[in-house]
Amino acid sequence: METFWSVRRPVGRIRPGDHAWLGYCGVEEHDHVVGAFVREGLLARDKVIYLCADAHPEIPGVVGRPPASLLTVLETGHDGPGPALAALAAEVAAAERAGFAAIRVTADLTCAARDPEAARDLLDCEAAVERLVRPSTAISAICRADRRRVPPETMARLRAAHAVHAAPDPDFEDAVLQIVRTFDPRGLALSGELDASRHTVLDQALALVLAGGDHGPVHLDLAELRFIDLGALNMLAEVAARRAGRGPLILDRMPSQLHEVITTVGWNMLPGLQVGCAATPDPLPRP
Amino acid sequence: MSEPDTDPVPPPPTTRPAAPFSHRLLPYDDAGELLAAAVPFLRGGLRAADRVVAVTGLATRVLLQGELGAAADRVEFRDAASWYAHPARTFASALADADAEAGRGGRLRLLAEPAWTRRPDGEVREWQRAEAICNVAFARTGAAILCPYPVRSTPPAVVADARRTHPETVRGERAVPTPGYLEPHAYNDRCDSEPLPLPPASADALSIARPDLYWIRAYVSDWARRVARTPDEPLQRLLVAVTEVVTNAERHGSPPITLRMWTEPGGACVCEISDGGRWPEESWYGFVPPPPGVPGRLGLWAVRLLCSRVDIRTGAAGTTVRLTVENAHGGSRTGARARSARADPRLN
Repeated sequence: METFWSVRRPVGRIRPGDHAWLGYCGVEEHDHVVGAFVREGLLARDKVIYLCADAHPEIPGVVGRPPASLLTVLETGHDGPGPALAALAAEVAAAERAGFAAIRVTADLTCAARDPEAARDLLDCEAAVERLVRPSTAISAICRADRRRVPPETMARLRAAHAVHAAPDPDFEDAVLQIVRTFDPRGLALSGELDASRHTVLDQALALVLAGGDHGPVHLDLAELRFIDLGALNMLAEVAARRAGRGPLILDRMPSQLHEVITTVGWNMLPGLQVGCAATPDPLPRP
Repeated sequence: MSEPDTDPVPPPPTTRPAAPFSHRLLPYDDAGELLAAAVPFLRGGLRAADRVVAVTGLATRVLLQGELGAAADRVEFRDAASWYAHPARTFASALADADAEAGRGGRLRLLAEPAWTRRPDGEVREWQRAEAICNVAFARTGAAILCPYPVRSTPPAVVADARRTHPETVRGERAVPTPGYLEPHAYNDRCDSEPLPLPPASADALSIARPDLYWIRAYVSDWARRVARTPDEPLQRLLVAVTEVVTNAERHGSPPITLRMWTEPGGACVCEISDGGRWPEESWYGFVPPPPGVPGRLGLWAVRLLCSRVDIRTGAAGTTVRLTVENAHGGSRTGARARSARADPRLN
């Protein structure tokens, strides 16, 4: 079912014509990604249409009380996805008439996708949204569902119906290093090269992960990390030591050359760091 | 370049050693003299329930096993030729063992027959330095170390230096203070009294004016792959080492910082970082490993583990750190043994 042409795109780079999918695994991931989409839209004075099952949701990314002309909340209701689609089409048409250059739509499909009857209609509705968004030069959309609450086969179909998969914006990104939050498992994915020039940004990103979470383990996905210096290893070991008694710091998918360096230096010099899952030649597909 | 933060003398041990540390020289002329001292040393360790390790050549091993009889089964014999693989790594591995025993309230008892005395001069000097530093680094562990030197088959200059690096000398079962023993700092300085040979005129030189470390690595990688033909694994170790030394020079040293690279006749790749700063007196230059279980102490010590060899000179004219990495896997003589000793048990 996986489409060959699907592309993983940070939420900040989602553009008009993108009909994107987000299978999130909890409030933290939902708010991180959807919040960025909503916040950017409101800041740019785009029209934001927020669909969910709740009549009075806490909308992530909203600061203060934006005017109703800018932010519209649609309740998806319990009569299947059809009425919600009609309401959405009407809102989009109204926003176009009002002269908005950009319209951001995000719809939570968790409730509809849980019901096998509604799920069939949902895929038809997705096709209609696709026809609405893809040719548009104004509309971008993120359809989303809690993947822990939706049957896997429905998730797979919904996922395949979207050519773009929404991803978190990097916490940090320059020509050398990229740091992105991960939510399942909780932690950070590091890519590029890490040395003293960028210790501070890793420290900040780690502090955010550690501050936001329970006391569970924190994972660092190192699959794309080509270099790590001794100072950064020291920093990680210090973080692990400060968390003693709580969840460990786990290094996942470590490239062999990094593993070799740490083995030469001695794991006994890095107490508190654990090796997680092994590096795989092909990165695991992300939901 | 001042001393990096990660290179202080270790703090007092957190665990109380079961017995005082000893590091004794056993100069011997014949097998009788060797056995007269080594056998009581090993038997004493077995009686005291120490972990008893004997690093020897085959001949000594056969002699000891014959004399010890059934007790030999409780002695861990190691082949000296492969145990003495890489001064810093062998040192780290032995010290980790000694720390582990001390942590359990026990003691490491090590018979260490030098297998390096006829190796190239530069390597002999590093093993001799390890003999001296051992007096500082192992003190916290309470380990008992006995080093038998066969006087007749060892170069006289090496025997003379053994008297400078062992605080006590054994005659039979008695230990007496060694008359010519030198304090380890003094011995260490003596090892570095000669200046380093000049880099070849053909060396590639790059002046580092605080660019991103990324570009320095890109430059070193390109040069090492193209000119030195360094394979990926030693190259990665070299890059970690160069990054650490340049970071130190930028943080603690003074400009100008210069990076020079060349290849040795044997194919080894040499990277030299020099700057205008001077390290403080009494530095251990990364020779003394940090104590176990304390995070955040990787530094120059780790650089010594990563490279085949590290030479440092510091003085009024500035500081030079010369990193040598062999193209072969691991280093000049690194066997699988020294490496696997510190492999992560959690992976197995």
